[in-house]
Amino acid sequence: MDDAKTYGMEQVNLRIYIVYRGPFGEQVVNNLAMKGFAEKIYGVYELKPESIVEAHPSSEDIWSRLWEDPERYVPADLPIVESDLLLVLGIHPKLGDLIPPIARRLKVKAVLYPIDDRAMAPEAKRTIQEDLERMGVHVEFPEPFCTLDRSVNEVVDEFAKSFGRPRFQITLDEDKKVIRSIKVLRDTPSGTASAVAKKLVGFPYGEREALLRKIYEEHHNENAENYCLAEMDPACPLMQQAGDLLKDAIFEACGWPTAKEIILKRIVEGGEVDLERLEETVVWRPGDWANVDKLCEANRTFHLYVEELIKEGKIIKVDGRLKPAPGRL
Amino acid sequence: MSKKDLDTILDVLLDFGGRKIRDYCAKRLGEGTDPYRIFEDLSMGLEEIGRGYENESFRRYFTSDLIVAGRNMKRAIEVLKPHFKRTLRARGKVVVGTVKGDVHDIGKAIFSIILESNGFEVIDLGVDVAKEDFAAKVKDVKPDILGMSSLLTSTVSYMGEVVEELKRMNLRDKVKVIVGGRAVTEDFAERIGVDAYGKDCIDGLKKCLSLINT
Repeated sequence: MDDAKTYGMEQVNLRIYIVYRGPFGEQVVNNLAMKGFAEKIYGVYELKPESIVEAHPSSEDIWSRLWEDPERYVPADLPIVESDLLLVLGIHPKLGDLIPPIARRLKVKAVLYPIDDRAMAPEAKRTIQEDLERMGVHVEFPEPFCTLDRSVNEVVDEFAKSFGRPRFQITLDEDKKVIRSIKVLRDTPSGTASAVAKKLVGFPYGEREALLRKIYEEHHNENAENYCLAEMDPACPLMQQAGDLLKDAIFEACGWPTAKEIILKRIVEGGEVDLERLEETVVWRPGDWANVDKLCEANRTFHLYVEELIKEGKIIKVDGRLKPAPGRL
Repeated sequence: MSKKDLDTILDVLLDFGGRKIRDYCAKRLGEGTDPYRIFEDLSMGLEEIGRGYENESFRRYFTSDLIVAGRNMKRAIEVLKPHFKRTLRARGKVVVGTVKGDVHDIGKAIFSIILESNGFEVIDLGVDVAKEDFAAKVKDVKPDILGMSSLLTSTVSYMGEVVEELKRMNLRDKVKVIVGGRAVTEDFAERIGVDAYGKDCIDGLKKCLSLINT
C-alpha cells in the first residue's frame, strides 16, 4: 500500500461515509475496514426500501413521490457526521434520489456510486449527477467498481490510491517457474484482488493456460474467499470484465504483455484494423478462460482498452476502423 | 412460517461473512430440530429471495444477493449433511453436473441433497464439466438419470452439445436427461430434446421420480 501512495500528491484528508444495502455493500465495507481504512470510515448506514416504507406508512405510492421531494424521505435516524466522501454501495435503484440531500447534510465533497449490477443503477442517474454538481459535489459512477483509477477530484483520487483497479508487485522464481511473492499495491474495493493473489503464491506460471484458469476460477467462483459479486449476465459482463482487469494486472506485474498492449501492437502492425474484426479475435467464448490466443472474457474490457488507447493518444478511430495515431508510432 | 422466522432466515442467508448460517443451523440442531426441516426452511428463504429477484415491478434482490444466499446454503448443507439419515434402498442413480464454462453449483448442490434425502444415489461431477466427461460417466456408472445445471445464459447451450455427445456415443437411449438452473427454460429443454425440465429443485425431484417410474 505504501508504494501506491507515492503519486506526488499531498495527503488528502479522507473521512468516508458509507450508505449501503446488502452483501455487496457489506463485502466492500468489510474489506475497507480490514485493509487499513477503518479509521477513515466515519459513518455506515444501511439504507433499505423497507425502512422508508415503514417510516411513511400513510404515504401512498411512495416510489412515485420520492423523486418529487426526496428531502422528506431521508431517514430520520441517519447519523449526520460531516465527511469528505460519500460511498454509495448497492442501494435500491429507487433510493438513488436520496443521495443528493444526504450528501448535502453530510457536507461531502465527492460521491462515489459504483455500479456492479445494472439492476442497482439509480433510476435517475443523470438527475442525481446534475443535482450533485449543482451543489459543487463531484460524483463518479465506476462500472464496475474495480475500474476506478485516477480521478481529477482529489478526494476520489485519495481513495483510488488504495482501492480500485488492481495493481501488484510480483516476483517470480525463474528456476522453479513459480510465482514467488505478490504484494498488493492497490486492492479492488471488494477485496477479490488480494484474495486471488494469496492463492497464486507458489503457483506455477510455466503453463499459461493453467494460470489463466486459476485466476478466473478464483475470481468468479463463489466458493472462493472473497469472490466477485458483480453482474455476470453476458449482456452486461461486469464480473467477467473485473476478471480481465485482474488478469492483466497480474500479467503486467509479471512483465508479460497485457491485453491492452497486445491490442495496441495488433493495430500498429496491422496499420489499420476493423474494430469488430479485432474484437472477434480478442474476446473469447464464455468460459473459455484457458484460451491463450485470446485476451479478454468480456467485450466491455476490449472496448475499455480501446477507449483508453484513444485517450492516451496512441490510436484513433475513424469509421469503425482503428489506426495508430499520426506521428505517435 | 411466521414473518419473524422468515426474516431471520433471510438475514442468515444474506450474511456475506457466512458465520450466521452456521450458528443458525447449529442452534436449531441443538434444539432437536430435524435437519431436513431446517433445510426445507432455508430453502423457503432461498425461494423468497428468488421471487424478490424476479419481481419485475419491484425487484427486492439482486445478483449479489442470489450468489451470497447460494453460498450460505452450501455452508448450511455442510453443517446439516452429517445429520441426514440415508434411506436403505436407492430408488435410482443420478449423475449431476454443472456444464462447461459455468462454475456455479448451488442449484446442483441443493438438488443433490433433495435427491439423496428422497432415496436417490447421487454422483456429482462438479462444475465446468465437459460433454465428454458427462458421457464417460454415463457409460461408466450407467445411471438412470443425468441431470445438468446452468446458471449462465452464455453456457446453457452447451447442454445441447452434451445431448449430441450422448447420441454420438450411443448412450442417449440408455439414460433419461433432466435439465435445470436459472438460465434454463422449458422451451429450451424441449428444443434440445431432453426428457424433463425442473423449474426448481422440488419440481426437479418430482420429475426424477416420474422418470424413474416410466
